[in-house]
Amino acid sequence: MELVEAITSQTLEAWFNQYYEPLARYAFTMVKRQEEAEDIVQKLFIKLWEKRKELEITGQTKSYLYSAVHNASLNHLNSAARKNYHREVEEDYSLSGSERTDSGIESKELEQTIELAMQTLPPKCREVFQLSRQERLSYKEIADQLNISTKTVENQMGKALKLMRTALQEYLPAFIIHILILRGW
Amino acid sequence: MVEENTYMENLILLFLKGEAGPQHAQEVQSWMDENPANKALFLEYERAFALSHQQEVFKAVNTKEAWQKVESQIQNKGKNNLRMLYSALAVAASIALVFTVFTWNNEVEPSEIAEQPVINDSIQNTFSLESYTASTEATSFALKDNSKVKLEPHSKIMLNEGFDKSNRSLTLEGSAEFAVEHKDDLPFTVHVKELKVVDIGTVFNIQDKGDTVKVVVTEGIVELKLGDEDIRLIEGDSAFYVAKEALVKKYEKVEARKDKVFEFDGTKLKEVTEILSAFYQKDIIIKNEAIQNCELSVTFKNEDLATILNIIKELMDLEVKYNNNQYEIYGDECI
Repeated sequence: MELVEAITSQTLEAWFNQYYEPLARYAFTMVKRQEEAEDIVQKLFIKLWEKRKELEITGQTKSYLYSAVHNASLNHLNSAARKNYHREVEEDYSLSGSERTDSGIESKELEQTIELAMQTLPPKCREVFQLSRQERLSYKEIADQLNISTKTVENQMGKALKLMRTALQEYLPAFIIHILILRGW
Repeated sequence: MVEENTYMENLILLFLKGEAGPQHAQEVQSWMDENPANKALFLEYERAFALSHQQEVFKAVNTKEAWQKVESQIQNKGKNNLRMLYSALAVAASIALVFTVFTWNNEVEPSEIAEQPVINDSIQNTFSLESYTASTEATSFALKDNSKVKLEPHSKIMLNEGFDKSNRSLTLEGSAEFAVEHKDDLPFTVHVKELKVVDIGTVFNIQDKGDTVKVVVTEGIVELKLGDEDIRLIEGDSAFYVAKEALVKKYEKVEARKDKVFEFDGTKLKEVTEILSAFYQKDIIIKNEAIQNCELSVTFKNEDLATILNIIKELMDLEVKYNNNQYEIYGDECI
């Protein structure tokens, strides 16, 4: 599909229906908050509508939208008010953790399970994963800190998450149900 | 097969970590959409990542509700825009009315020069220098070489000896607009303070405001000469001469270029930046060779340079920085 000369409200709606969820998911990976991720995508479509007369793009609609979401998310993170962003995200999670206890799932138990799973990781792999998990460092930052290549970080992280997925297998459905309960679904 | 899985798993992790570029993100989504098994595996990774990184997990969205929000915003903005348009039209109508009254009172065709409140001082001038002074009203008239002048109130021009024979130089005190026919052998030159304004076939306006002299080019090209320095102004440009600092500051007048359309169709980024740089008189540097030949297909209408570069940035997944009075473009690859 391509962006054509005249963007009608019907084409905009069709694109929205097709790409809203994937784009929101993509934005979420960067901003880590669902509401803000969805807001970024909604604003993008509003902007697309406002600029429809000036902007005529020949190319893949999908590529354009993904690029626009990428940039909007990075700008969102880079704004001055976002200096403590990761800390705020962790606080959100801690808050939901206290609610988790109320809903019958012990956050301590969950934490212990994660710690145990971490212990099963090979030392280098654990070190890389810890820096990602606790320090919220990027691949490049981890690579710089450990003096290894980003490709090695990528492979170690892949291994770690694979092991983590297996170790947390039994926990995952409960966690998901808990999240759904928290969100009132 | 194992390698293929590892590749995809690494890509999924890059995505979940929030470090995937647009192309990789699309690749993950396409893989997920291939079959339900892929989607299930992705969701497991997504959940394991959220759990181990102490963060929310992405939840299913309500697309219908979200669209309703977007749709209502679009409709509201449409109404506001219409309101703004009406206001703009009202303002434009008032300005047009004022302007009409002004020009009706003051604009004069060259043939009516004799009736204008212009004082020809030549008779009184000991050195036979011909000069014209506007009284309290702006006046329009033609010079010997048919150049048209609109002299602002209390402004004065003095023609050099031999004007239209050996030269077309004059000295301006105050403000005036000139519409000049270019002649290679006799360049039309206006001296104002230490500044020399040389036309290359054009309409231009000079305003001497005491501390500064402003030159605005409405049509064609003008050259400013200040000592050894030459500054070329093209249609839409303006420049200020700051007498105290003895320097000229050049500006582009964006409004004069409002109807400009750029159409790029598979144009290489290098060429795109050269075109934009030449037009907007601003350096645009591609910092990574890998992206020089990336192709762009897009049409821009009535956009300023910053907006154009911002759109290119989004389209091509590049980074644009403004450093040391120039734009710098960074990127790893073509998308």
